[in-house]
Amino acid sequence: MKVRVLLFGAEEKRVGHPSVEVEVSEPAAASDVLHALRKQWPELKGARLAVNHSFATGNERIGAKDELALIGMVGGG
Amino acid sequence: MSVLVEIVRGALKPARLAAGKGTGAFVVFEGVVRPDETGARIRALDYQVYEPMAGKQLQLLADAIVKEFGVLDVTVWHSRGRVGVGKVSFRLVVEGAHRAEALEATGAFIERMKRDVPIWKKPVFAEAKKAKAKLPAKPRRKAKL
Repeated sequence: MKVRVLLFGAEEKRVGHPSVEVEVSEPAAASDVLHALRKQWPELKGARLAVNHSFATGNERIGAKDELALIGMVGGG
Repeated sequence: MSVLVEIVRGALKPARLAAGKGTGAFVVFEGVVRPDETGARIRALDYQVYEPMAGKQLQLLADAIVKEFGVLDVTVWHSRGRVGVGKVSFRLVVEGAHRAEALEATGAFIERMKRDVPIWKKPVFAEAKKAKAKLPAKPRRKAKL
């Protein structure tokens, strides 16, 4: 299954796009998406995956309709 | 007890704040855009906000802070988009029965927000405008290496 992952801040700047797509085997967990992302873009190491606006645990299942985002170092305030 | 979270475009307007019923301590923290970032002068900060998640995370954080510290109310405003130097981009109001928990809750909220809420800031450097103005009218030739 192909999933789209939104990028922001430093991660968006590093890759040069506001989102990327990666292929993961079904059934897929959050850790599989992170692994696929880091394999293709090693510079994305260290960021956390969010699923449907919440931080995901490693074994959380991912569906094709889920909204995925990579959250690196944040800096509000 | 109540929690209010709002993300607004641009700088925050001055707020008319009033303590609620039963409040003994009223802590207002405002984050202001500094004129320098990593040693360079800036004109503004551009706040990039992953809005659905930032709103959700701020709400969860405010709820957790109310429960954990026993404060009465937490109200949060954060800017998105451009905020000029000297302007307010973040305001947190914590109300409690006593100052100790209100002050502790304020510090904890800010620490956790800076760790978990998807908001990023990008400096708009003061020199950027100047550099643009110096560009030649015609496109430059590429230098031969």
